[in-house]
Amino acid sequence: MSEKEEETKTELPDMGLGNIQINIGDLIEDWEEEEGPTPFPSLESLREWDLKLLKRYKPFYMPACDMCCLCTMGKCDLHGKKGACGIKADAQQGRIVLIACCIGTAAHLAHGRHLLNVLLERKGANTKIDMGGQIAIEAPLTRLITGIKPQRLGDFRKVLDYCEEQVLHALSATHTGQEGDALDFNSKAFHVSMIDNLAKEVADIIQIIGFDMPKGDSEAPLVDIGMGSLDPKKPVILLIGHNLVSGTDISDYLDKNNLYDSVELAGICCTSHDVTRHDHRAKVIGPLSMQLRFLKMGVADVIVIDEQCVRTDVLEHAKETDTPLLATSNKACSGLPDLSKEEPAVIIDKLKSGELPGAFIPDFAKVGEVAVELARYKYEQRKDKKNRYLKFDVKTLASNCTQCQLCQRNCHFNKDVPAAMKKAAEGDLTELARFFDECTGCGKCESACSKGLPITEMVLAAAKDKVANQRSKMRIGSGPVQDVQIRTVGQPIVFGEIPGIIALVGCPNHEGGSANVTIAEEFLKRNYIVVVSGCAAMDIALYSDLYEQYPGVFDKGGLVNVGSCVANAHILGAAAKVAAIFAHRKLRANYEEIADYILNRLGAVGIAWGAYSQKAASIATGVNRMGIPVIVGPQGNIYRRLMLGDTEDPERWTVYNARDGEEVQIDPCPEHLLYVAETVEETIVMACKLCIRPNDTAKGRQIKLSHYIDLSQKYLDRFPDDIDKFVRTEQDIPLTYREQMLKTLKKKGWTRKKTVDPTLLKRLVRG
Amino acid sequence: MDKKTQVKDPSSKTYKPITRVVQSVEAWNLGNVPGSKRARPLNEKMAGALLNKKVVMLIGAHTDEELAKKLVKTAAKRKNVKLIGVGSGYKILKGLSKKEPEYEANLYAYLARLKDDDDVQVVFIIGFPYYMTSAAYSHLKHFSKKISVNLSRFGQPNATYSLANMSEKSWRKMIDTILEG
Repeated sequence: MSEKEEETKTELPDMGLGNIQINIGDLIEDWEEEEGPTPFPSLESLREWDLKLLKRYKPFYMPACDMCCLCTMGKCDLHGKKGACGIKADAQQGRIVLIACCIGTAAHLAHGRHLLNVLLERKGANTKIDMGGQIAIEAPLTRLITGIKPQRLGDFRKVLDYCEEQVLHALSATHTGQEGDALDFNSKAFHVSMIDNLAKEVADIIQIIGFDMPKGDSEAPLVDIGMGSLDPKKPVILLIGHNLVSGTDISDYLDKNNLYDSVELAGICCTSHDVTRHDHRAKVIGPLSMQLRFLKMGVADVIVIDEQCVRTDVLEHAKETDTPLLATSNKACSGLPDLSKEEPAVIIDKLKSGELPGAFIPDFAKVGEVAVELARYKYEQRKDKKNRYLKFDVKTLASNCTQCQLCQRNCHFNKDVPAAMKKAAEGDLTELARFFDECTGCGKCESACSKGLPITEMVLAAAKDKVANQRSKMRIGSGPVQDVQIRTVGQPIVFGEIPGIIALVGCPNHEGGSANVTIAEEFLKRNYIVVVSGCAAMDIALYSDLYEQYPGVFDKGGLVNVGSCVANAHILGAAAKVAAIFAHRKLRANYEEIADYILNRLGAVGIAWGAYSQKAASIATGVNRMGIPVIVGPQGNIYRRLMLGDTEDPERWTVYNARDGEEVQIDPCPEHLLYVAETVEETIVMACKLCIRPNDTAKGRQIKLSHYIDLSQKYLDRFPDDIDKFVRTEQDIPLTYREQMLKTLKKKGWTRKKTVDPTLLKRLVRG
Repeated sequence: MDKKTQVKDPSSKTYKPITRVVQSVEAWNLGNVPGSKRARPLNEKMAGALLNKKVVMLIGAHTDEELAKKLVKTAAKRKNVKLIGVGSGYKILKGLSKKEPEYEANLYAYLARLKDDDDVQVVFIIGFPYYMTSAAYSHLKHFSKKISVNLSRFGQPNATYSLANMSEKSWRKMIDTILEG
């Protein structure tokens, strides 16, 4: 226990009461807002809400495998039969989804817990949660889910204790002989994924306070991004992962010793988002898709890993290029010896000599000095280890390819590597060079190659000009959306005049980062609000200058980078704040009502075009529970479960009219909750359609339908034939398409629909 | 020993193996190991028989243009074959036919509804990324009674019937035989 923690804990003198402890400083709620119905909800508290969603958006399962191999009575073949425990294929898919969501949530939650422990140690439990003058609702998801208003850092202990308990219960439900119902597995997946969003919010607020990051600053500075942004004349420290603590200690060491001008600190994945939020002199190399490539390039003089999305073979690659590896998180020790008890000078000596390939140093106070001084030394020693690929004779190497096709058969994109090799052997490197942009850089091809060809480096060599010139600008993560901005946009969003919020999040498991650019640009031009985070935010910077073209403000036509994976909780937070600030809905422990509000009124859609990890599964599922649809790219089907609506089934679209309690059918929107798209074009059209909400004003609906028709014509070359479903009265018909729409409506036998105040919750009926 | 516990002599003429030997298709993607139930190899004869049933062909954005042309021709000749352009796949069909092609927004949303459609017996999924197709076949395999057929040259073990992995040249020849047969 730290000294700071000791301050809040008092041991009573022995009065014959045994070891009684009284904690002084626990949260005392002095919040005027009345507590809602579900403070600290447990696994079953919001089940009714989940079942309402699952009735409308039925799970669609696609088993990756017929078998269950989780107990010793298996393997059990679930194709057309039950397993030894009685489980069926649909429930098994729900179970696997729940396991994935538990893993994802645990990763964010453990990250948050680590940050909290570090900050309690460094700053103390009484540190005030001050999100700046423009943010009064400091933690909307915390308020919404737990019912507490955190005021000091120590208050988050209670929140994370709660989160940890929920993950425990959810995970335990996946044990053999527990849950057996497919829908209940999905409900639990919703629950644990809601916890994921809560944990992310807590984690990001902690780091904003602890590491001096922007607090909703729409004019946050631009930073350099790209492999070509690094100065080859300087030592390079590479950060990989998601937890900024070691990275900021390195940054602070550079700052304190005036070394920022002579050492490059750059990162891959979300650590670099967060380190640049702390000090924008640091640089971003790029998303996860650049990791293996950059490791192979050997440009880094020291590699520092923390947690999540770090390649598990990072040590192998570090050794190949004689780059010392510092592992700093107990989640990823990489088999390295723990040197945290040694003095920095001793650690540096051991690594300088090559006696050890790296070290596990969970003591962050030492990482800063070790990383920087080691990088400065190694830079001089290992100049010949850098950019080995530039010396490759790609043509000769490619001529060794036997066209066995193992590379292609191991590629999840089915990339025709053999054809590219054949051309390269003839001296034409264009196909091989295209893989630099059009593949995710996982290296499975190389690992499978029967001739051991260094395919990753051959691609780098073929694309050497692209590599050298890969540099652009990214706006650093701004964190939460300011309340004042919510006040400005609340009404136009809810009324549909700002046609929607498009959130581009997630990983780079796609065939080209420019997809995110195409989507973002299309919606920015149309005055949607585009919010980005994580690797998607980096893709947009690498493949465009959109951050320089569009303002970073949360308003129509604004491009807001909230920051890392954990920061994307602020996107949901912004949705909750619209309900609270604009519509005066109570946030406190009032999850169902706010989710119901968002589902029926707030035109927001998440797009994870390159979703890859279990964290992406929990992020999307958490967003879904709060009534926001998500579209994933083609690889997203490997999550095994979608949630799809059916516009032809009227029973699914029944709601209460909050005015009088009548059960009525509404227009089928949003049409789906979790959707896989095949192409970018399909994604754009569907995202636009999924922004339609039953409560749109006539003007708002006109605007949304106008975009839907326009985009459908632009990208699918067709006038949509389902518009009759989304026209409630003639007033919904946009002027531009009036004639054509009236024709379609007549053909379809359209009749006017009643406009209602829609809700799925009977208790919200007023009349 | 009573009759119930008597074991038959394996060498006797009445012995029958308790398992059937069934050929199955190898997955093109080596990680795509589906488990117990794997596609049977599709040959010309079987393909011809399947094409006589109530067929829907779902055309994705990645459909080979030459194949798409042949499918349009086939559908024009056979009343029992319905072509649907799915998502961006619609544009491919639109460019090949004077008639307005049928359209579905999304492969999986269509399959979710297909379960209750008695007008379809056989589903061909054509021109989608390998794993999207595999997942679609997996859904049909586990949760529907429809027969699913893979016509691509990349083996799909989750389908009911699939072409084996083959070179492009052999595949084009096979397609011609199937569609013109």
